[in-house]
Amino acid sequence: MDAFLASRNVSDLLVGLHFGVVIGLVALSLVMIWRATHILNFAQGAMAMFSAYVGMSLLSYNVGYWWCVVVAVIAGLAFGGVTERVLVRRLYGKPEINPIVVMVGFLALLEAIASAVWGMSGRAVPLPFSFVDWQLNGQTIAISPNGLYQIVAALVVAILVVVLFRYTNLGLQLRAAAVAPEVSRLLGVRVSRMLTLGWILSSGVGAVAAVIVASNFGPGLTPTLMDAPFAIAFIAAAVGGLESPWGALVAGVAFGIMQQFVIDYLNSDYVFLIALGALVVVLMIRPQGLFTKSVSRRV
Amino acid sequence: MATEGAPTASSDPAASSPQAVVEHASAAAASLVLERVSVQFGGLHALSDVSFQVNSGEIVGLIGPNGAGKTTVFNVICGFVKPTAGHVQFPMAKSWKKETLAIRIVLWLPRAIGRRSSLARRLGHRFTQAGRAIATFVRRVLRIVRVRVPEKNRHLRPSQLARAGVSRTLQGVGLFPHLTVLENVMAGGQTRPHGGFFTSLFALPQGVRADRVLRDEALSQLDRLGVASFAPRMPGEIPYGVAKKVAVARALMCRPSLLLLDEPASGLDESELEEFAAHIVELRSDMAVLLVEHNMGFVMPLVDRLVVLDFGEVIATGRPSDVQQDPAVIEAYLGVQQ
Repeated sequence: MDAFLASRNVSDLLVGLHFGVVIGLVALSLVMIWRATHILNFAQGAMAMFSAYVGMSLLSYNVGYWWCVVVAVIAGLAFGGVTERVLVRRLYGKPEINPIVVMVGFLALLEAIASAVWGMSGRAVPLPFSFVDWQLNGQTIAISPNGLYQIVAALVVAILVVVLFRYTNLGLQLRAAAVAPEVSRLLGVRVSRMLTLGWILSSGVGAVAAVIVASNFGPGLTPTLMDAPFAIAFIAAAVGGLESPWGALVAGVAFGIMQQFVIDYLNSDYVFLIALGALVVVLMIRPQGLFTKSVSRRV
Repeated sequence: MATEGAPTASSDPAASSPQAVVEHASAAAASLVLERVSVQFGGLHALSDVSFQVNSGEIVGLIGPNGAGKTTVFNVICGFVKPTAGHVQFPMAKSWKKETLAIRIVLWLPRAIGRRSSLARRLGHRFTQAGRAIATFVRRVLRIVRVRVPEKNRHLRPSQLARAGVSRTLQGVGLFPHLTVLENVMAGGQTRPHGGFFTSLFALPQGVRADRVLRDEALSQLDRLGVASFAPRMPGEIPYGVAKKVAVARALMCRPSLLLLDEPASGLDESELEEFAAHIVELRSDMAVLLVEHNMGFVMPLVDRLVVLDFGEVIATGRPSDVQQDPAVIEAYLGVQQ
């Protein structure tokens, strides 16, 4: 059993799962905004990075790690709300190209501001738990207490969000407002408030993902921290189906595991190649994504 | 304007004058009053001086040839279209005042200070009175400088209307395609007090309880209309007649005092029509019903009163039997002078 847990494939699976839940979380945040406002938020990763910087910059003032995480998430929530009210609201009802151009511009702007304020070099983010992999009867298992905490945190946040959307009255209002705003207004749903709330929630989820990425992967917190995870998450969301939160989560985890196996058995250069190949195949066979149900319409 | 006491047909413009409408509104329990409503789209007069009212417990039919302006009237009532002139009032609706946050603070602050300051405790209620007086003064000044302080229950937005107890079904069905039948009906209950954001997010008991009450009531509305067995199905999977009933069940979830039905009979067969008419008659004990309908066989025995529109003007109002004999109505429908 110990040898099995320490085997190459199980190690790849655990490392992939670790990365995959974070990808799933970013994909979920993307899907939430798409469902609420039908806008592809290309600045989602940059907004999350910015929120993480706001929280983690408090480390310089000897504020504890957990307080920094709380501030980062609050900054993420607030950032989402302000962005929707100030920037995105002007894009509703405009040609489809307008939100794409504006959100790509917003991404560049946020990364430029982060570079100017906090610099391009990475900012070390402390780990709340040990990063040393567990040992079991002398065998190393490819997961640490810190890794386990991050997997659990990401899954809890993701499941909370999905449950909120699927099983609560608030989620019902969010879904109704996204699907048919005019009908929702007739029923007393405050559509404008729901759209803002959708952005607030998704931006908060993105901030959690950025904090996890910053404290675990690569050189710590950098202005381009979320570029690679966002790219994979975007592909995962499209494969899973932009209308399906569960699809985004599952596809995100699958892509994370696939990435680790590709890195281990082939080469990291093949990761995007395979991911894009999967995207093209899925779009050809099932354009709405693997997990989105097609809705029949009476004619 | 026909009144409840004397429901005679009339195409006389004087009979539907605004003054007559207002007088009647005060005399009877009016749920909806339209006063000289006009709507202009560019150079096109969609509605001209339309005045009528619907009283509590009454079923009123709004009829007219295609393009007469029936849907525009509904859109004006629901706040989707703003009238270029005239007023829409909901005298029986729950009180609703909408002010901007800044105005609300300006009006609230003097009263709050009056209630809570230690000076107020010593001086009794005089401070509170002074606060009220200041708030009234501010309100008047705001009107003089043309800051919009909407009057009670006039020109409400669609979401405010639902909260004021006005509910509407749409032409066709208008159900949310991605929500189940039960969720569609639950979506109609958003004007109720329910769990807030944090109670929903963290599944606190208060939120869970509110959600359960909403779910139970949605099921009972479906049951009342005899379609509870379709609750878990998606709208695309149910027959058209059932979907129509689901739309009505959703509209009833906000416990309206005024129900607007937009072509409720379209697409229903004879047996469904009879059943549907019986359900609408049942509703009159709780609310007023205004319906737009082309199917005269369905409308005539169902309604208490008819309002007939042609080219955006009210050409007749009154009992169905009287309206049927009205020369202006016959000309509008048949295109010949009898």
